Amino acid sequence: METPGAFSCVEDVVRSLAAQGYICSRQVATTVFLADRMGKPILVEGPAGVGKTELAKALADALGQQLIRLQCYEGLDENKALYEWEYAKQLLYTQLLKEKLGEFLAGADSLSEALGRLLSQEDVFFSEAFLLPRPLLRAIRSENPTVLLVDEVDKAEPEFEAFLLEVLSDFQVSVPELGTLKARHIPRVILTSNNTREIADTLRRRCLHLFIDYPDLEQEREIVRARVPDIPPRLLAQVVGFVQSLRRLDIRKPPSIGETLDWARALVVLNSEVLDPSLVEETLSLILKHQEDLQKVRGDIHRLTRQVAAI
Amino acid sequence: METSILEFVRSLRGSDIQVTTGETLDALRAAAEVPLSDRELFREALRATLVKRAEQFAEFERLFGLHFSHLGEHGLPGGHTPAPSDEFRAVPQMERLLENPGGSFSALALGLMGGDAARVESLAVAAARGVSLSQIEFSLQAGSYMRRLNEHLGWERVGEELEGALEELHRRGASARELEEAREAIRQNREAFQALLRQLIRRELEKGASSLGERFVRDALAGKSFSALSDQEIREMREVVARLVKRLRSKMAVVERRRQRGRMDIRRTLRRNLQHGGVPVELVFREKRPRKAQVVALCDVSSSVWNASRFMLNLLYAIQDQFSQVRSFVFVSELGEVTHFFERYQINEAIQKALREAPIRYHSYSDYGDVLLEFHARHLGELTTRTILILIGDGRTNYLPTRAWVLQELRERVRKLIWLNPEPRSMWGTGDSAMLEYAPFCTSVEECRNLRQLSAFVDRLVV
Repeated sequence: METPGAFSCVEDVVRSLAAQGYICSRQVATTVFLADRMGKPILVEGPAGVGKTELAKALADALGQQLIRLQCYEGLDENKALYEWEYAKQLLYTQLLKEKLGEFLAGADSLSEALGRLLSQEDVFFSEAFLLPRPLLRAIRSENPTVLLVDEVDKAEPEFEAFLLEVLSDFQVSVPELGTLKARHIPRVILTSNNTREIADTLRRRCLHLFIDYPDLEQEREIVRARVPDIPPRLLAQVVGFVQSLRRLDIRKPPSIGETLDWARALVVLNSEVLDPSLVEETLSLILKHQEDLQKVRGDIHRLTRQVAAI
Repeated sequence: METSILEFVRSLRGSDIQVTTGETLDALRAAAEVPLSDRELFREALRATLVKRAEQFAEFERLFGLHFSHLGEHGLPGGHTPAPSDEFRAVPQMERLLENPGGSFSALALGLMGGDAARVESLAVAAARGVSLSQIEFSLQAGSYMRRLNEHLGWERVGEELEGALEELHRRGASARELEEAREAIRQNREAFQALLRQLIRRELEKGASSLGERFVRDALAGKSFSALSDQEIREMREVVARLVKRLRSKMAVVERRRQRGRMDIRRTLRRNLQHGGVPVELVFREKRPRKAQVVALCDVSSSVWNASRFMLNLLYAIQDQFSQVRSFVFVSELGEVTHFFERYQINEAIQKALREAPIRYHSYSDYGDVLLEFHARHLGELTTRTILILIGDGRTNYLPTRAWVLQELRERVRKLIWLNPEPRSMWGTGDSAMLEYAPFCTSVEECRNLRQLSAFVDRLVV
């Protein structure tokens, strides 16, 4: 049932992910490699926009498997994560089958006999036909191996974590009316967290831990080069240098990798060759989304642009 | 390898990093999956399995450096750097003797005679394991472990063997000068070996005990009195408070949801669904009543409790939306309302303003009596049985009238009157502290000197 060893070595992971346009450090690759070998979930932490979710997507693509995503949010509960009975469908069918039911119960002498007959047929309405699988159950019941992404697990409540833990340790789900549903394949699981809430230690212990930080200069250049191939080399170096120095400033929301990419794409569309202060001024809102941050950086544009102008 | 990882885990635990047995097993498995020659991968394998919080990374790196970069690592070819090897000297005169020792020498004696650094180091490391050097806890034990190591190695006998070797050299006709050189080289090698043992002990001590001091500091921060914090610590505290607030919020969110969830209202469900022929298509839930408590807080911001007030205000700000209304006042010798700051500004700015810009004189002396009277006169009518009144201050009146009767009248109007005092309980009632006079009129009086007590209080208040 287990399918370990999709990768031969850490370098293989780096290559496979790079082939999907995901440039990662050896640190990231090591954890992915180990998780694959050991059949363990990965808990990915790090600032927003460093590619935590992307990692899961790239991994699924690299393995040629389906990605099943469970987006967590406040109020997410078992019903929405695992399965629901299709209440409306059950009702509809009861209505449609009313006459049939009437016939079926026709010969009954007493109420209790009728009820007895009805009870014997109960499982008609609680069969898989009326079961609406949600992401977790889909990942477990899938015919093919899958990658399960539990995104932003810190957004859900602590109770949900406990429930998740149970599912992740057994990979089976018990539906009272149907019995226990076992996993056909153990999915590869990636959980991400932005650390808005402390994740319980029990969940941490179950997982391999991976902390992804903002990439360094070299790595971010590679990422931009991979995703925005037609960017002029000098502009590429300047854009990345500029973003990196922005991240060192004390601002509310440092630009994410996604924002670097957006900016690079925009500059390519604008046919720019080099960064100059007025160009930065006009496009700054692509990388800084808070009014306060924009104001803070506006006064500094000349200095920051000069720094990267030499590149 | 296994032993080194287990010892490493022991060190982590010593530094307050919780590692379960399951995680240790994971680490062993992970280490087996990566090539040992690659130090970076090996480190990453241990990190991913053992250390799962970003704030523990630095400690992990430190301990990893201690455990896996120098001596004491067994079978990690990548980073093996025999530190004091150059101190061991080969003894040329002994070479002939070594080819044909002509007596039985221990491995250590042979190693010292040949100046074979790698060999004597591995013997030292083996001896360290033999006497469980990794169990060492205090530097005071260094002497006793040194003795045990030497006993384990049979150091005395090694000395005799080396003397014997020199005599043998003499017998074989070495010149006096050669003999003297050989004696000197042997003496140096023996000293170098003892230095090596001392170094091993030092490293073990660093692995385990050095973290003791740091742990002490960290523990202390949560328990440290607000008034004793340095600027640096205040900055660190701010992060701790931020995390505390986050935790509280998530806890409150749970309480809130439970409250709202409600039970199904059978009667109304049936009535609503009459139009569907009694088939319950729409479910109706009984809504619970929202909690209607109001909080009114009065916070002393005079210089004596300034630090504490800041943290209190922080938490007051954080719990604002958990009650139907929170009104906040600051006072020194007169009362100033700061509710509007809290409603309008971001947390840090709001607190700055509350501590500087309320319409009061910040640099006068606290006058509890007058402040209570002022509050009584202006706001008594707004207090109801749903109000929780929180007073924050040290109750030091500068020998001015206490007017405790005002507190009594306030108490009769509200649901709860809670006094938080940033002074240690033992100080209450001493000097100009009127705490004992005020205390009987409060529902509860709590010592709130540090973060731990403060967070415990807020937990009780909201849940």
